[in-house]
Amino acid sequence: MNKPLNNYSGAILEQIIPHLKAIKHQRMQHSIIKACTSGISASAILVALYVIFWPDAVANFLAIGQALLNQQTFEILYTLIPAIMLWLALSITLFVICFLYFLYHRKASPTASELLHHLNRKHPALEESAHLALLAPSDLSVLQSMQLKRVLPSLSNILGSSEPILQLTSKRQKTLRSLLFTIVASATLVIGVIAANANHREYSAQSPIDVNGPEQKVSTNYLPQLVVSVNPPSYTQQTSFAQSELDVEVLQGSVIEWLIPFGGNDRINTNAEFELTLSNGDVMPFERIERGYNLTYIANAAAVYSIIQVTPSANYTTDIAALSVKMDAKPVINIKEPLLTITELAKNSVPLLNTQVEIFDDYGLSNVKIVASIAKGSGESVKFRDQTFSFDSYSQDSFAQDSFSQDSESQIGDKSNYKKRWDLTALDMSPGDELYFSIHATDNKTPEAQTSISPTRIVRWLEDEQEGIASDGVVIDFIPEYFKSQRQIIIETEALIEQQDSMSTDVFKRTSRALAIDQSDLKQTYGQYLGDEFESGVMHTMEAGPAVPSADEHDHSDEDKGASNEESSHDSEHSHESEGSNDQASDLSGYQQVIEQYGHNHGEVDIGFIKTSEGQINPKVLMKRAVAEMWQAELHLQLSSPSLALPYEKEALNYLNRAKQAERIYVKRLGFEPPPVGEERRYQGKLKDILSYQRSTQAALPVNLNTKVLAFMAAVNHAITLQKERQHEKLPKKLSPSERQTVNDIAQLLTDRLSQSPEWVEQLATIKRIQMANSFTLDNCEACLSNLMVDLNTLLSTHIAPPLLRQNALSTQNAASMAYSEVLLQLNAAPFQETNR
Amino acid sequence: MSHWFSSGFNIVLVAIIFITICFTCKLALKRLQYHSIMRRISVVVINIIACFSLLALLLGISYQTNEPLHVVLLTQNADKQAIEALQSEDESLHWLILNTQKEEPMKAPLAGQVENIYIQDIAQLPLYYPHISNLTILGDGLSNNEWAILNAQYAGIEESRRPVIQTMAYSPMLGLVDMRWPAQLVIAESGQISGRIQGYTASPSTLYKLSLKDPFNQEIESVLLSDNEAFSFAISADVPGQWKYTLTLTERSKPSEKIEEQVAIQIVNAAPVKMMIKQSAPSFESKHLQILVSEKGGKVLTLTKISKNKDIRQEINLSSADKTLVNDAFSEQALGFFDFLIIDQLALSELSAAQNVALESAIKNGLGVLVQAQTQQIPEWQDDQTSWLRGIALTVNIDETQPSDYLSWGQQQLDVPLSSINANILAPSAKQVVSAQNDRALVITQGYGQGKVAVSLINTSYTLKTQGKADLHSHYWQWLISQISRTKSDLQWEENIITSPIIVRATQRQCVLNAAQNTQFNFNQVSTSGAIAANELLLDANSLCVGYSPQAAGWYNLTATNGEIESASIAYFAYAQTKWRAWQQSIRYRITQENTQHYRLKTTVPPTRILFIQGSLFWAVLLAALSMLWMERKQFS
Repeated sequence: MNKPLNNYSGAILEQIIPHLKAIKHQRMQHSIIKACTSGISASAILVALYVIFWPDAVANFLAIGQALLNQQTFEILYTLIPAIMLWLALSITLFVICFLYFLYHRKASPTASELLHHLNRKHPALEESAHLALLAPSDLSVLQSMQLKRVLPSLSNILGSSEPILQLTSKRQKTLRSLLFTIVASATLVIGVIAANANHREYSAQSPIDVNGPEQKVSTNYLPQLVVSVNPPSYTQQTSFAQSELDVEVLQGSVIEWLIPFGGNDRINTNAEFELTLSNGDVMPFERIERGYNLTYIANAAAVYSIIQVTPSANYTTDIAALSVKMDAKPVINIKEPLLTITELAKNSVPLLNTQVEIFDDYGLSNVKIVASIAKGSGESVKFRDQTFSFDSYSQDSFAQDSFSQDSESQIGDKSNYKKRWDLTALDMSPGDELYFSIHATDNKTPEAQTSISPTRIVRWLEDEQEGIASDGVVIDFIPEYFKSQRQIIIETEALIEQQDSMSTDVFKRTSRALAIDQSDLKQTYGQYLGDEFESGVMHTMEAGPAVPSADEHDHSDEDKGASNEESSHDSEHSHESEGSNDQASDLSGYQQVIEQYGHNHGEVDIGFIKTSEGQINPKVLMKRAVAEMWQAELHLQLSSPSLALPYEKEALNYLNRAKQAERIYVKRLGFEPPPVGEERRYQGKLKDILSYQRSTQAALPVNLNTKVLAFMAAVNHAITLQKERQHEKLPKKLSPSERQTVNDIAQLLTDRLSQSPEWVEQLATIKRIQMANSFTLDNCEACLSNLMVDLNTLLSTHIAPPLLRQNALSTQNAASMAYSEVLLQLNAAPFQETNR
Repeated sequence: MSHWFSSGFNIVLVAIIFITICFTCKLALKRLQYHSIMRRISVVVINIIACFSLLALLLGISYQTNEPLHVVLLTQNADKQAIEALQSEDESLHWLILNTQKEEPMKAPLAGQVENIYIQDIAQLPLYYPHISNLTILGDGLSNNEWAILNAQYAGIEESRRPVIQTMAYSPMLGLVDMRWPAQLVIAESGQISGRIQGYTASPSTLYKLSLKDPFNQEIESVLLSDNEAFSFAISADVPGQWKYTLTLTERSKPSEKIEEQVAIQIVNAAPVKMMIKQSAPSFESKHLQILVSEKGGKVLTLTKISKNKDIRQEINLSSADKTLVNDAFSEQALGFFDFLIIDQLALSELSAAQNVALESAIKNGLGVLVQAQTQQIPEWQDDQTSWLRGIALTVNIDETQPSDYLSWGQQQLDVPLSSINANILAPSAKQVVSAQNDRALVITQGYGQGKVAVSLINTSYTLKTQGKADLHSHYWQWLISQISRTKSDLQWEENIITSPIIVRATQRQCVLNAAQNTQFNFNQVSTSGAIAANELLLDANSLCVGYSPQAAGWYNLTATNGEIESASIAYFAYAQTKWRAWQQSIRYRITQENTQHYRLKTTVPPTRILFIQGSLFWAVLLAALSMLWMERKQFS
């Protein structure tokens, strides 16, 4: 600032200084606004460029937005908030940078002299002499002094006015408008770019993506519009429906019509030809009709299909679609009464019997009847009479099929209750006759109805009085009377004990021995089923462990002449066993002798069906224990000690009852088992029939369902693992020839399986898609492959474990390990040598 | 020299700055002679401050102290309350945050702390604090690698001068710990996934449900467990590939909150076995075994005696070269070809002396032999005993007839009985490979040289197959052969049980057996692939180990190759740092506890240490002073 140099300078300077300050203030304002405008617009452009050129930008914004707002849905708002936050942050940064830049590069503030020169140019009234006010009096000429005095009032007026002398920026309103415009334009740019990218993202997530590989002939165009009409068979009374989806689920026998209409498919050539290819290899051409192209097909089996335009060129194709066929189920017959297979009526009971049957069919029944046979007489004079009956009454319940099946389709089925009351006398039956009947239910399926036949029920009108009505209980009850006999033996033993005092000794002994014989018979009967032999007391050896036969038992053997004839013949059969056991001197305990005499070792006693789960003893063991108890009972009865025999008899009955309750059946041994050949007789056979002593074969690896499924699953696993690791690679990996073969194999396997298991149609569709795409990467079906793997896994049967070589923690040639094993060998050999010495 | 130089340099620097400040102040006062006194004084003071800041920044200002230095190192999951408690207890603590994973909860209580430093690596700890008296580790602790680094840092320092290290405030998180599973399984081989629940210590009675799902999302097994309870799931996979089983842990009372961890296992095909059967008569047992081995690609030679001097010879899957090699089946050369020999007792007793010598030599060199006992031959056992069967005695069992046993081996137990030879095996130094329910030995094995010798009382395993349980039959033989046969002599990765999680960027170490001089290793993953160098093991000259660290989560392959002759490959899964958190935590805690044992000795005299005043403070002051001077020149002139 210059020092006042003349009389006027002080006053003039005082007036100029506020103006200079105002100019500085304006310049600062100007810098701020410029920085704001530049910062906001530049940052908006940066955000827009980021969104446009950075592929994951929108996703990043979305993720941040979702995290900030704790929302998981896709909303543009959640994307915008972080974007705007970024924009603001960038704007502030750029504003600061720009502001500092403008501050640095701003023009120097005008001096008082410069300002006066500016006033000279702006106000003619100053006559270009305002600057004289700042000159020193000595520097002013007379003329200049006079001029200064002349213009001084004008200068004072100008400087004293409130109007700013120097208007550096445009008007405030205009400035603010331009700033507002910049903000609005930038916001529009940011929001517009994000919205456009977000929409694109949504669209790309939903739009179908081509599954065709470049090797496919067909192009990637999909048929824009296609109508699938389904007419279920008339007997089902289901309504027809139409859909645009290609995946269709129909009832067996439904007529499906595919229509490619001209309307809506403008690009379709009217001279085109279309074909529908089924997974079983059938190719069916579409027929040209007035409305478009049409194909009708009666669906009897599940399949996958695709539609391709074959001429003039392969322009259009469809995705692989599943044609699921729901089979009409046979009627289901549930006999509610009588529940048991065999119903026995006592001779003197009222010969009336009720039958109640519940029959269900998914689409209705056409005929229900009872087919019965009546057997009269016995032996060679038995006569059969066949007759058909109808039910006396029935009631029908209509219900939604959903309650019976998992099918989501709501279909009305028939569940009918049929009743009949049999009067055996009206059927001309008498005690001793039997009635066999079964229910035949036929549904309304066309063209061929399906008939279900129920299991046969047997009604026996017993001739002799029975102690109760028997039934088909546990199958182990193969000789029910023997169980009663055991009970009878107990009753008679108890009676004998009670009457002992009133009986003579001879009668008592005779009765006791008679009971022993009964017990022996019963024991032998069971023993036969257990694969044991009773002669020579072998049974005792087998059940009760080694025991030298007592003198009493020998007595018994002597007395039991009936059995001894058989015994001697059996002994002769097994003479080979005793031949090798004469050397009793070496067998002082007599054990070997007993084993060889009684232990007729035929190897395995039974052929399976033995299972012991937790807490259960298998029936065979129980019955064997029962037989062992019978042995003891018989022994004491033979010794005329019925009181000692009674506990064993009761225990035997207890075991028999437990065996009856056991869940598994013991099956009698079958087949021929040759006696073992002694070493001296071995290698005596003639070898003339042996043509070659050397056979060389190559075992082919079994090719079955398991191996095919395994190969496919392994290939998919390999592909998926690679795919996850190579996510950056845009193009999906193509199938190798071996992989393609694996896929073809599994496709064939599922196609063959489809006739039996139509539910595999979706899996087949996935495999067909893999074939079409020529890759395991199915872009439009992310869950398909994992679902397919889960389903295929259920097909795998238990796998055979391959033999494994021994694992070692050290190398085979490891010096330390070898040295250690050598030392061990020497250490082991040393005590042996000591012993020899 | 350097000290002299630096002190000389410092004097010169101080002199220069002093002169500069005098000169600057004079010029400033001259420039501002027409301005207010306040302004002049301000400018001079700011200039002096700026010069002193610059001087402090260049020279560094430090002071010496003998006060013990107590540093608190915050590791993962450091407890906020413990931090606050320590803060209130001692305000002079120095805080360090090991920045392996930035954890927000740690920052809050330390926000007002003057000194808290983030260190990326534990190696930075001695750089920041070379003279620590006490080091308190809060949180989970340090990993094995981090302890190795820290131990190396203090290795040269005598124990009394090392810091006392203690741990505090370990709060275990809910999850699965002490996990163990095989990294690789052969098809249908049974494996175990085992571990332990680490529950909330605050509620030890809480029940947890743990379920295992197979790679196809089907639940294999589900168990209810309480805190600290161990579990074990048996798995067996049929499809070769790289699969992930899923373990899901839920609190029983809060089923919606789940912890899911994945168990990655590679399933591979088995190497084919070379087997010879020598029998005195045909048997179903050998027939079904022959089918089993040959259908899996194994090579089988069966010699069956059909007359006094004649054997029928059956060769399956043998090439012409193999046939030539094994022409004389009981030569040392032929026996060296096979991995496994099954011979019945009678056939063994009929071997010639030369054949016996060859057999013994082959066993010494690694052959596995299973001797099938025969009822009629058991009394002959003592007479027949050869040197390689020494120590094994067979006696007739006098207590029972034709025993029927429920076999058990490994982790498996049969639920159907099999009849066995009525004899007892007495072999004090042998290992029971298969036993009955009453612990009677049915198959025993013992080593002889490099090989294994076994005696079996079971000759009816084929009945499993005829009963429709072919899988059990195959498992039985898989187990037997894996216990008895020759070990693999080709290049192979050491059997690997995962006992600590393979975490991204953590160093791993794997070894191969039967390596050669030219064995090369290759690491293959998406982000990185290439050769890795091996370092030889001292114990086993034929083993080589490699150290590497996977850089990305996902499967990776390690391949070892001996030129073009043979190669062995194994796949592992590297987990992200966020996986197996509880397991990582428990390992860190255990390792930290173990290592702190070496840092228990109290430091007698705290070391003298020099403390530097933070340079950043001077830098900030300098920047502020210069900014003010610049503003003054620009704005107010």
